[in-house]
Amino acid sequence: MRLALYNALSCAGCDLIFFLEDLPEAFWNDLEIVFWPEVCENREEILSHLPRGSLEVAFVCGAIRTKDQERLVLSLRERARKLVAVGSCALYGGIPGLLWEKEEEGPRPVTEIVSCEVAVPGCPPEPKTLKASLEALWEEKSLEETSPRPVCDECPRLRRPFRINQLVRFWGEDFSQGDCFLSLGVICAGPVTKSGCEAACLKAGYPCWGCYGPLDRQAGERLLSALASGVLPAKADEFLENLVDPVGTLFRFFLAQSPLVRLRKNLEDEKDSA
Amino acid sequence: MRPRLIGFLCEWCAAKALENMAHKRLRLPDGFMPLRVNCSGAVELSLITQALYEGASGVLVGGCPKGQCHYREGNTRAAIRLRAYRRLLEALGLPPDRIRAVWVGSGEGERLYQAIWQFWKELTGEASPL
Repeated sequence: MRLALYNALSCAGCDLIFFLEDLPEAFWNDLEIVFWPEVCENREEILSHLPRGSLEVAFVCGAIRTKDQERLVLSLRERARKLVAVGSCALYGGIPGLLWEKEEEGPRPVTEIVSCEVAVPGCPPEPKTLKASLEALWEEKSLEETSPRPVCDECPRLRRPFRINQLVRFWGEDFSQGDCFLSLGVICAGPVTKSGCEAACLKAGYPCWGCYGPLDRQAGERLLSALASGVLPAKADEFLENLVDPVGTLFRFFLAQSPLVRLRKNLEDEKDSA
Repeated sequence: MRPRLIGFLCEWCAAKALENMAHKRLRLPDGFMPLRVNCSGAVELSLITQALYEGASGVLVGGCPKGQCHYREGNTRAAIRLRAYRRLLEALGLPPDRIRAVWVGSGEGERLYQAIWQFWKELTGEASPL
């Protein structure tokens, strides 16, 4: 079993978690780690000497920002028979993807640059998700493709019809008990986020941040629509005032894939060519 | 690319106003594409994003006058949504004036006509023939 691990633009939280916790036993037989810049020599020559298809699996975490990172991922794709993208950054752009807010061009997710056999969402992925994906990879069967469902389906908090009175920022108060976070006025990305984490954050008393990925590319706008519809009309001004960082709150993990930032880029390109 | 203006018009007032205007045989901008929707409150922001992304120069949302929504508060919700959306566009560095709302009654074809041409002029510089 020859493996390569590579962290592009990420916080390095992802690859630690799979080595420490849940690499399936089958992977440990004759395990040889050929390339892992974080612990061994970081030289691209190591990779360039390998023949095509000589690596069994390559794991890639993080988003792609520089030309070097892009070249490395492409060369991994060439040499690995299976490529696994791990974490929200690799799949959707993740937190580094928020650079698109202020910069002309931010980092791109790995899945946009190369094709991946397995995609493991999460920031970091829940051990269960990771294990299921890796076992599926090992047994060469694809994971059952079911239509994605929102995190709300797994959330233990009580749901009742409600209107939003005011937006509250999460810190300062105890929200561990009570109804749906949205009814309390805390922005929770649950309605527009794919499930699979078994609502881990919600069970721990935190609102969903959206790390398992958006249900579609316009999830941020959908969440904003839902919030704005729930607000009492008399409280609209207050609501807009308290919506302090709309981009960071609504597009936390997938701004790099949002059509809006692509639109801005297209507009700038048009302006340049005109 | 040809400039296009997408109009999401509510079927109770704004789309009726468009019909009302049609009786007067007034010419609308060539790039204006009206779409009839159930209620201005049914226009999800993701639709507006899609319209802009696929090449619309502007999006006009037309609904009933304030307080006269057929579904009680659809237009109020639409107004709050569009205000929030404009804030989002500003935060991302996109021009927020590509989105506009107009509230007209079913008999106010003339006003809708003015509003469409006014918006079209701001987007493209081409003024109304009248």
